[in-house]
Amino acid sequence: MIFITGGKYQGKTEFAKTFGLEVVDNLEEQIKQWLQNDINIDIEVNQLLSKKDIVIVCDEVGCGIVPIEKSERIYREVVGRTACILAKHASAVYKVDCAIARRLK
Amino acid sequence: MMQKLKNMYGLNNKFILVIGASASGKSEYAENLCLHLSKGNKLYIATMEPYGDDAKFRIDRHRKLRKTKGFDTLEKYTNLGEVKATAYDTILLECMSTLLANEMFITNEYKKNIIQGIDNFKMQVPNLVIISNNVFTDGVKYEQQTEAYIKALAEINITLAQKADIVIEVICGIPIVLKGETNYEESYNIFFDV
Repeated sequence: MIFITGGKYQGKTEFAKTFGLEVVDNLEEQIKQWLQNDINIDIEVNQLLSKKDIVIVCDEVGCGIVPIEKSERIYREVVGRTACILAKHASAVYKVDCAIARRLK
Repeated sequence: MMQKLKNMYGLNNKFILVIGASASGKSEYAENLCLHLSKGNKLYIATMEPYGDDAKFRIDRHRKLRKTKGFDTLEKYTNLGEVKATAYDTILLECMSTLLANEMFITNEYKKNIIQGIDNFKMQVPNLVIISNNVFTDGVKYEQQTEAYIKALAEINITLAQKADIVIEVICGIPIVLKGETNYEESYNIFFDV
């Protein structure tokens, strides 16, 4: 599994496609849906971890002031922790800025 | 591997700044770093006041994370210059962003106060690890007071980075060395080895 993070609109998806594997894009949006619909996130994440030939793309969302809205704080927390778990299990991790990918792992 | 780490980091007199986003894994990384720096007495300085459910949740989480790592804990929300810590050889300060908010609430001399506090630690203990936040790229323009806070945190991070021997950015749990005579492999192994 390859994990790609970075800010929005940085070229993460285009970079993800270059691997020629299945791409799970905008994981942060999926996480938002899971939170809104009370879906068990651990199960969903484990399902992602069970796939081998896959590229997962997730926005980095934690680089700001702590939001006033509680649901936004939870969202930020869950996206960050999920990214840590995926990065730990990934065979490669990239961060994309200005369409330039840096391999972190 | 440990010997290599010792060579790279040295065991004494290291000032390390760890920065990262919220929920990036920077705390866990910094704690493990302290275990590698020293087998001696370690002091964890907590700057977050336990007000509100969120703060309590975060504090509980951090307590569980470091439970088995042998830190003494000191809750100190402002005026770090008052801390006496000569009994320790490693201090881990968590974190600069809450300390700054607390200091700004009580004094206009917050920057001076904070840097003096850090210098006070450096004089007392060989190893100092400070955790700070990256809050600078959410693209939001805040009202004046919050912008002043963001700017002050940026300036403090810069000052700390200049003083530090090693600066590490943690991105989704992965350490990236921004400054210091270490490399990717060594810094990375600390996270996964402990």
